[in-house]
Amino acid sequence: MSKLHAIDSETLDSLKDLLGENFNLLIETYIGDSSERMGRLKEAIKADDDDGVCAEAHGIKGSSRNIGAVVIGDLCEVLETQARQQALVDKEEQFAALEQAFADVCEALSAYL
Amino acid sequence: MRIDAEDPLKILIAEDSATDRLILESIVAQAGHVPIGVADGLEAIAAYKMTPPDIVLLDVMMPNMGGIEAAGQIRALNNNDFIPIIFLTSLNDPESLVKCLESGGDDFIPKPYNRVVLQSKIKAFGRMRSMHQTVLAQKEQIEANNLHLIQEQTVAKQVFDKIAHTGCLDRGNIRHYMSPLAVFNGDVLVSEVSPSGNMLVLLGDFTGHGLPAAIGSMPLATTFYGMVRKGFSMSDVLREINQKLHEILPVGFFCCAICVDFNFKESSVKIWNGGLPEAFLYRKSTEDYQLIGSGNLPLGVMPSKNFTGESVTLDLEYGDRLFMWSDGAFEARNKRGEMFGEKRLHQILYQNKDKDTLFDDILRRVQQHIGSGEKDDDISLVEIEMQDLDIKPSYDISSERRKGSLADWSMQFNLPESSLKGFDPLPLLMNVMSEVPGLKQHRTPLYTILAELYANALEHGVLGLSSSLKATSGGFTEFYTEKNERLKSLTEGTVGFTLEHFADDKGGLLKIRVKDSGPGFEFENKTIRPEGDEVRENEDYFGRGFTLMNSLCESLIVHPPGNDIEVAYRWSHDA
Repeated sequence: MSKLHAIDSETLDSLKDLLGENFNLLIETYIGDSSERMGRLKEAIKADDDDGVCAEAHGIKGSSRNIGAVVIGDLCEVLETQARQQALVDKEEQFAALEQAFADVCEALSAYL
Repeated sequence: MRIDAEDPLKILIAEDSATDRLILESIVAQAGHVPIGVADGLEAIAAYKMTPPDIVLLDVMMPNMGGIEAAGQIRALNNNDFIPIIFLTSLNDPESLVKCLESGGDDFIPKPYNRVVLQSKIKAFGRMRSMHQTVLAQKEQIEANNLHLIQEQTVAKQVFDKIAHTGCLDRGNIRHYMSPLAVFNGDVLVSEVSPSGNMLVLLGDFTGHGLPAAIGSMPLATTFYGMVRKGFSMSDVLREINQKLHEILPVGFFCCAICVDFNFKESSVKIWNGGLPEAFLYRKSTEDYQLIGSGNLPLGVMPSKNFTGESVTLDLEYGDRLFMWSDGAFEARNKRGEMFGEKRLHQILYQNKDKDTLFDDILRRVQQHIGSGEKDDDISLVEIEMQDLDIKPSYDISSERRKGSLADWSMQFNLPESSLKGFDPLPLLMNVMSEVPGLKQHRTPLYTILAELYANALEHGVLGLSSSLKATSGGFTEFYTEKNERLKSLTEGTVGFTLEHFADDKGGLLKIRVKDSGPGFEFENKTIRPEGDEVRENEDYFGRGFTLMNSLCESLIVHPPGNDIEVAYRWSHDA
């Protein structure tokens, strides 16, 4: 339960209300989709691919914010902005923080299922 | 909370993130619409082609093809229909937003999605789309109507041209200008040579524009040509046109017109102006104009019985020229809406008095005034010159006369006492006679003759009244009182008419014989000629109006025992 701050419960409640029986599908889709994007983001960082970093960070940011994962959204926004300006700073550290936050969100979401 | 949609809309959603797509689809479905989810721009275009949606939601950044490019291609697919494109974006720098709109987008929805905002936007754009579809449908309807109208006008113009352009407008002494679509401006120009070689020209200007104005031109033209060719006088032609238009046209629709009858043999012109601007008659001898203003109501205003058809007759000399126009000439407006004006027109006329180019000058100046605007001109201008002409009708007079008109004929018409009591046979007989082309012009003498013959037969013959009664003072009153009493108590009596007409090239001979059931007046059977001196000047003779009839007829015969009188009336077209 300690990881619940990683996610905005109000947003998640309203999504549960909106999606009804599809809510589980949404969570599974988010986790699956984001995991893939996290993998691609890691590759892009290793390869110094700014465009790749920008696109993947943008994608993760969008869907994370939609489900209320505001911390991930904020971390991705920094990566995306820096990558667009080709001015990435401490990218490995940033990615590590993002990985930690993603793990927290996944754990929190599992509690919702 | 559910936002009600009036009609479910098909909403294409292009979003690469499966999570976001799922949320969007759920929001759309919740509002009662049908979501069609795709993952990139290429798929969006394919889906758009397969099932055209009502609204498109496009993510900006997508793999394969982004939203901006997809929007441009979708717009290129469809020019007419309005399908709103709403961008889904977390971008918020002005440059990106402007790019979205320039590629064909109509609005943005910021990420993360707000359900209420998205549903409201869908509702608003749905409303706009349905409004646009209504406008589009109306536009198509208007275009179809317009096309239909143009087709109708083309047909109407073809019909009218066939009717109107059969006249004598190509004669050398006439110059005329009519706008190509004059018939739809309500202007009409017809001209024809009468059997006696007169040239009749009518310039008319119907109230209104378009088909309502054109419609009256048809009966006007057919009546004009039909009657002029049969030799009817200008006043008869105008009377008939007036009656037709009065019957046909709705109240408030009429035809301002000027009609002229050029007599080249006698060098004169009859002019009738009903509501058109003053015609200008240029007198070569005085080098000045004589103005002929409107002295009548336009055609179609008055019922037939109040229509006079009185015209002005003017003597002309060779070289005299008559200018006529409708008010379109000085109502012609330039781009600033300024009218050409009557004043300017008159100025040109006075400044270019004896120039042969006057007609073209007027036309050029009016057209210069209008400029090269799209507006059709509405000018109708006619010039007729008095020349030494011996014009012959271009049509076959005898066939025109034969065609549906009376030539040779005879009739018998008997009235027994029941009809004598109240019926006046004269209008009926006059009507029959006026069916003979040209004979209508002899209406006045014919009426006098018929009236005298009938009065004699009824009053003296059938009723046995003595004309000596009328000779005393107060005798007329007594005479007519007595006449009415005798008519009332009449039990037996007849008056019979026999009419015979023989047509010839110049006109014809009309024989009228009236016989009554009375005893006669012991007048000897004799033929009386106008110059004859055998006329017995007795009271009875005068009382029976024979002197008057004698002066009008070629011959007058009284058959014994004096109850049977026969006259012969010779007439010609020229009279």
